[in-house]
Amino acid sequence: MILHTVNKKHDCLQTCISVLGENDAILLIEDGVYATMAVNNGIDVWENIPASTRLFALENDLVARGISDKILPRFESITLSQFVSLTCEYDKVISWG
Amino acid sequence: MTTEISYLFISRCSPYAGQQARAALDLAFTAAAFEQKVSVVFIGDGVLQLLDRQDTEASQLKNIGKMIPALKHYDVKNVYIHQPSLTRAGLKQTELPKEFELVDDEKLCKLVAITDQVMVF
Repeated sequence: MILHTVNKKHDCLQTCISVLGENDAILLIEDGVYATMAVNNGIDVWENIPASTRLFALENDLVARGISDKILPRFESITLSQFVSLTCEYDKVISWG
Repeated sequence: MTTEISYLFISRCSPYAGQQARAALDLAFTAAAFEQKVSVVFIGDGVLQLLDRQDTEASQLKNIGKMIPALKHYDVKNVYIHQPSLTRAGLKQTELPKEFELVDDEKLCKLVAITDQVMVF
């Protein structure tokens, strides 16, 4: 069980997805949150991610960028304190980017 | 006697990835304050700066979204949005400031050719 955090657009997200394990989760932070949008660079990166994989995005970063109403329904928007709880819940955290 | 120079600022970064977006706007405001002919084009991830409803209070960042409408008050009359970048970002023109003109690659090439100083951020 790994929590993968992604803080940039595009490239590092693809790398993260390629090593994603069965019970892992992805948390998008900073510029990583742009990947929550329905169309991102015309590519649906989430298409092949199993429905069981939990997907999170940091609320503050969504709000700052004005995209909180554009996120895909699969994403759970979380606060900073929930972020802290997640890091405890998972065995380890990998920071991409 | 003042010499008027035309400037084109190409802003290609998302609003909070670094200082680039902020620097481009600051410089555009400064050049305009010195009565230079200033144009700005938002291209690539730069179009994400144009989204309204950016709220940076909690994250304590300088709100780029609020700086965009100031362009016209600083007499930056020519603001362009690169249309293909909008499509790539999945944004509609209706979500963005109406007063800015959409440009395609061809129009952008012309702008670059006719402007004295072109700077990329």
